[in-house]
Amino acid sequence: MDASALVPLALERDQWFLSVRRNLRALRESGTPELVTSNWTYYEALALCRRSGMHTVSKLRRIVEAEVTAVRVDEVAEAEALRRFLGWHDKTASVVDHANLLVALELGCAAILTFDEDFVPIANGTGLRVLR
Amino acid sequence: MSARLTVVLDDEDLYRRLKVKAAVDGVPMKDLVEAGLRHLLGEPAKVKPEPKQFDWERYEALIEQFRKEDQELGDEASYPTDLSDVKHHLYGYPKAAERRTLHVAEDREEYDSH
Repeated sequence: MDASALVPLALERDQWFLSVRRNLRALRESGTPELVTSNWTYYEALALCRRSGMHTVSKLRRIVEAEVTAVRVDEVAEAEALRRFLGWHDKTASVVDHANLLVALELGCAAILTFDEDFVPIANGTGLRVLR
Repeated sequence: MSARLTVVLDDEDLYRRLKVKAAVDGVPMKDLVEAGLRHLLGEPAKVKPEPKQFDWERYEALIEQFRKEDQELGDEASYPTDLSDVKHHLYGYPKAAERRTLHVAEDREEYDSH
């Protein structure tokens, strides 16, 4: 999951709340999903939630602690994410986007849940399905 | 294949800190010891927490709890509905809808000789 999906997972008022639920329902039909994200992405989502107060931060924290595994970005993924960010001039994804994708690939994830269009071009060709 | 190695740590505080870190990271202590050995041997660490299985009922219960808290705190409308727009709210880009409009306007049209 990227931050654009983590936030609406916890916040009912968000524009993508219903889309996240629709995707989770669909995933449940083929088994019990395991939701993962990178620790950097989680911190991005926390920073977003902080904009609307600590109660919103608390909601995200409780949802992630219960339902999402936050995997640390290791040094290898960090270096590769930075290399891609600096080298792929035609892509608008952030270093965090690249790192999150690399973590997903490392873990063997089947799909990425995102509502950030910058993610689509970097996920193309990786074999990961992009859910939205 | 697995191999057994029994180690008696002389430093009790080191053991205690290892135990705390394992609890914080949500991984067995064995994984942290392996990561330390890999680091010592120049291999990248491979510490991954145990994955959580998504529980719909538990998730729904949390969302319901949030609704109650919002009502109690008068917090129902305290944040924008597009808070998930990471690039806008965190990086200062234009809103996603505006970025899409720009993208479409920039798309190259097919050449039409007529």
